[in-house]
Amino acid sequence: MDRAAFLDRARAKLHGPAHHNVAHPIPAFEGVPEVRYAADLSDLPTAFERACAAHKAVFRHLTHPADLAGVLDEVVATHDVRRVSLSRDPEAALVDDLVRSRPALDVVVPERGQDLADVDLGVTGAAYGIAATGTLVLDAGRAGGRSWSLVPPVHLAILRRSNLVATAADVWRKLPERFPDGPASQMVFVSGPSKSADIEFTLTIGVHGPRHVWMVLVD
Amino acid sequence: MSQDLLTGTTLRQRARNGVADEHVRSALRSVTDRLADMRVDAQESLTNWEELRDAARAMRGHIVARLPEILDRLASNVEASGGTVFWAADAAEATAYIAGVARDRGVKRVVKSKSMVTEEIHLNDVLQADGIEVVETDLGEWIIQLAQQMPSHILAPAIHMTRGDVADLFNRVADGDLSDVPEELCAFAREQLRNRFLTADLGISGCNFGVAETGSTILVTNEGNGRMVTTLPPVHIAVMGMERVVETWEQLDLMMNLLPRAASGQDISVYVSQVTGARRVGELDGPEQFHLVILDNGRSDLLGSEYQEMLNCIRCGACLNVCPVYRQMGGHGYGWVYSGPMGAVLTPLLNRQPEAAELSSASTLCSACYDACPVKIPLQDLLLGLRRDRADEAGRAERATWDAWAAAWSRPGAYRTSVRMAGAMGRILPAGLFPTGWTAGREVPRRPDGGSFRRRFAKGDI
Repeated sequence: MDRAAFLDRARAKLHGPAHHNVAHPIPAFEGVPEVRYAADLSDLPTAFERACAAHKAVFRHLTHPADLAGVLDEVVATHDVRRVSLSRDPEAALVDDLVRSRPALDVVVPERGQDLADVDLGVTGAAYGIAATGTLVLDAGRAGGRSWSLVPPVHLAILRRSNLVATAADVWRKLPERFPDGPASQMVFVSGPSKSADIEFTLTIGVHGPRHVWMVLVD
Repeated sequence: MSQDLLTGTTLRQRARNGVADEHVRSALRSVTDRLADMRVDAQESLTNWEELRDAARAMRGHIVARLPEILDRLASNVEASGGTVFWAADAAEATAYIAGVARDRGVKRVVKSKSMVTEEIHLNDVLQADGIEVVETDLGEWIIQLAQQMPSHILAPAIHMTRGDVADLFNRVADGDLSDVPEELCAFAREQLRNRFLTADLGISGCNFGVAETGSTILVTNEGNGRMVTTLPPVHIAVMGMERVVETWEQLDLMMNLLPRAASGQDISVYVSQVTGARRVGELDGPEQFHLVILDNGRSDLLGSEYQEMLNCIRCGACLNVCPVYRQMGGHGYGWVYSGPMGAVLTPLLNRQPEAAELSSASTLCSACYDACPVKIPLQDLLLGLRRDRADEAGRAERATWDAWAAAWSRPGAYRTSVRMAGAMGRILPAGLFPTGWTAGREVPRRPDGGSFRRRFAKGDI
């Protein structure tokens, strides 16, 4: 069906008085109210850490980027990482020299997403972090792609303290301000490792996406 | 082959099958109880839940009332970001278009993320008829695809199967030796499906919301399959029911605070993918082509009718978990893709099979669904309306009977005759002769031994 015919059909049906539900009248739309959280969001890193614990991401708070070496070594040792790949986010560049200085690590530079299939660790930055829900805002334009945070079984994300906001509204309701060039081909909010409850409603971690997510906040 | 349970069956037969399985009922009770409790906890993570529900109802109503204009804007912005929009009047147009894209691209393997709307249009059957391998990748959907069943819950499609059932199924498919530990079953699914993601030629997803102001589509998943489907294959097709739109990101923010809390008691889903067009130059991955299929398939018939508000539904499934009928009968009792109270309303409106009409009876009108609904759809009012419509249509013969009864009982002589006859019949006929099943749980009223009130009064017995 062509666009005009499709829309005209809908328009024709909408003509005439709107149906009025006498028992439960629809209220008039007077704008989108603020979403108010019960949790204390006065200290954003604390709120972010609490939310990470709830959705089972590992959280680290570093006061200096130099401390990233310790976290990287911890991730490599914990998950027996051999092959690693870095997105093009500016924060991922903070560990570029580090991974190249570790002779045990192979650094993979992919040409397509599929090339990350046998990589153990993907390292990304994040455009923003959302404290209320412990969420990373990943931007495919900024990162140069989507697969680093998706295909490898371990995801390490580095987030700058200055990019931490309180709620999703601070990103979504301010989109033109946050992303003046319009939304990327894909923006994804990530809140913890991949989860499923499809078998007897038992929570299982790591069905398709990463099994382990490390969220590192750097002042 | 997806199976339509509606054709040739009655609600009573399907309900009897559902109720007979004590194991499924106990699993359903446990899962729906937990989901409902989790929803209440999640609501309490916000201090103004009721205000948000009221605003969401008003907002969804406002959007649906201006749907043509908003869809027009959405489509223009999808095209501006390099995507292609297809307008599908019905299931046949939608599936023919998608099959055409698949043919043009020489597609052999499709990976899908969970989408009720693609079940509604039987997309898998159409693609498979063209010799294409179609793989459902949501764990629950994959399980029921392998078992050749229909989803029984909008959120947890394989809710009716035990871990033992799943292990047996996987062992049969893979000729393996898996235990029934969910972690092991999940790991098996990860391994089996990973290779399909990496080699698929086409990814097909649903769409939780379209955002008109930028032409973006929003996809919510917890497993990450939705991200895989929209990242790795060279073509992505999103299929969207025409009502699933918001105008602005501000409106999306409200919806995304309500949807995961109502659906699964989560403050936010693990992954919220926000796709705007195809991959850009210099990006590692993402599809070269993005298509958005906007589907009518009977939805526009609701516009301007008393059922228009059903288009406000955001498919969270909260109404299923609190419904006393769903909780006993299970999703398959509803016979089609949509179940629970929202299914009992939507199915008769979208599916014109005669068997669908009686679904409005699958409710006690207790309105627990209304209390759970994040956009506050008065489902009980809509169900009542559908019952009235059905009575109006089916009741011509019945109405003639009632008219005759009313006429007879308006005249004393005819009234006395009919009461004497009814009394005599009641003595003679065994209860089992009444054909409707009405007496299965009831006693046929018997006339007292002394005769009718009128006769006893006349004799001075009263």
